Amino acid sequence: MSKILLVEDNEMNRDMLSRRLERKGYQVVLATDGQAGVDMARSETPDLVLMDMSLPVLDGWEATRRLKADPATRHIPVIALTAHAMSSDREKALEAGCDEYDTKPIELPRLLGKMEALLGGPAAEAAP
Amino acid sequence: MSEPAAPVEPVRHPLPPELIHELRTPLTQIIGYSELLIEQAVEAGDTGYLADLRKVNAAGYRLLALMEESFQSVRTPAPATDAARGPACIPQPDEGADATR
Repeated sequence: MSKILLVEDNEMNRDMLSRRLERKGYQVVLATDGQAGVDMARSETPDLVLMDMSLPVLDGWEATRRLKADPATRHIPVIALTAHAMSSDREKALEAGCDEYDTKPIELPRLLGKMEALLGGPAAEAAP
Repeated sequence: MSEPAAPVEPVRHPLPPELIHELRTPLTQIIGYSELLIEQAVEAGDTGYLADLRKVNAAGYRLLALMEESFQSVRTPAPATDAARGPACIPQPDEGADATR
């Protein structure tokens, strides 16, 4: 079962997306701001990070830069999630080190496809 | 006796990009929670609310389509006259905006 770190400050988005991912067979751990996301990535060593970009304390861009600068976490794929829909936002996320980018509202099959591509296979295969 | 009022044509003004951004958060929740409930209802064989849940979900996507339509209209290059450029407070999104969203 793949472990996903979801870094999202909006409570309803966090609840909704974590429940949908758990139903697809993922283990989900949660962080509510960018600094907590960096700390949890180090302590939980997730298989993948879903990173909201507009976060308190430390925004998603800076949190991603720190993850990618740390030898202990730089290998963890990061997918940026943002409600912004402009190409400059995508480029900004990729420049910060994000491996992928997706926009809100989340289209779950599309997001799962990106996650599975980075994880190397569908999580459902490992689901109980 | 006054004449009946002429039918009012709907006026569509482009939404400011920042407002579109703000609207995406609750729309994410409407679409996401309705899809979660639809999945659960299908699995449980509970068809009582399924049709209504699908209406909520479809309305969410309809609203998303309207927002995207507005976003695309804001992206359209404006004529070179100041009068045609609209309110100065509306920031212009990047030319290379993601056309899929």
